[in-house]
Amino acid sequence: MKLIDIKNAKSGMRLARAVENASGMILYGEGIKLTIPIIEKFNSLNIDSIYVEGKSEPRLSRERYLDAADIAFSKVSDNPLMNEIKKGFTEYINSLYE
Amino acid sequence: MNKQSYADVRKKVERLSSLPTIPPVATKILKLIGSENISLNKVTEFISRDQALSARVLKIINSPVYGFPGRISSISQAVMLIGIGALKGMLLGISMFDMMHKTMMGLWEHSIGTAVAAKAIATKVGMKEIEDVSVAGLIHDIGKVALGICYPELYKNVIIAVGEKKIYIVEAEENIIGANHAEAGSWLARKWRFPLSLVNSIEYHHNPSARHSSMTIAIVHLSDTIIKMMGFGFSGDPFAHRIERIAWDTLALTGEDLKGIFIEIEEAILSQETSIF
Repeated sequence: MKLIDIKNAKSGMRLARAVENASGMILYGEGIKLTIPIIEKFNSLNIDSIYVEGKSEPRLSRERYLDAADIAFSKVSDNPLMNEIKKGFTEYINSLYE
Repeated sequence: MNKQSYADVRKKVERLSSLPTIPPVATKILKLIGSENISLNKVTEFISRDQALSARVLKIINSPVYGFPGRISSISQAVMLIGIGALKGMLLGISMFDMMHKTMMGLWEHSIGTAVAAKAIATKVGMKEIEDVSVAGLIHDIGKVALGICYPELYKNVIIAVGEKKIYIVEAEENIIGANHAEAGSWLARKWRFPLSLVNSIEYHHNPSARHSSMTIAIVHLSDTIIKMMGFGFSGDPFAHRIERIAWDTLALTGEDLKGIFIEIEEAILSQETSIF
């Protein structure tokens, strides 16, 4: 599942989460295949983003994610809790590239 | 200009809204936020009168910072949903937006990112007042903007010192200005009669144990570190503070919870990079 800007919605994509109005009423259910008229309808309702099926492309390269984490943790690298958090993050980043 | 006395810094920060460098719209917002008998109707009317401000409020309220299930299309609906405390905080964030860019590139992104992270954590730990926690994330660094506006030249030196000496920004602010951003932000939040949970999360976001860590403070404390670790935005220094054990224990997150939080944050950032960031 990925959250996309409505500008990037294309016909053929499938909704991974229902689109609701402000009162929580479902307008389009999970699993609906997008068509041009549905996308136009989203635009007319001012819906900015939707969840669709599929996996997002990572925002940064693996090296840049891990570099940012290394720098962020450079002053706390002797702390066991911080190392635990960093280890969890490193595993998550690695899973993005499997 | 030399280092100020702590009392002088506080006096100047608390008079921030009367500084000539504050844009007129921000001055109006700050006046509204600070007024004693502020009502939901008054705020709705104020926002609705300004088209650009209305658009910004709706943009944020419909973003993953809040994550309401459906589209919020009117200001009155937005105001009813998030309540007066969170709305005051959001207006403060919006009014300081342009000034944040002047203070340091990337601080707005760091603030939005922290709000998104705070929402993800608050949801995971089952908190009810999610909007209040998001706002606490959004404005936790408001003191940096305040110090940057009050002491523009000294604040440039703060940023330089962080880069040269590889120190935390808190340390550089204390050495060069005489008070840090957590203190400066809390002075403003108190002066503007923000809810106590918001005041405390601004003041103690680097050291929650000083205030018997509440859930909101613990969440902002962790969010600030996570968003730095994820390489999103810039908050003046790239260094994470040590997560205090009391805050970590308050949240009682598992490794799986943490992974779910990372996923939520990344999805939110990816989906919004072109709009609110």
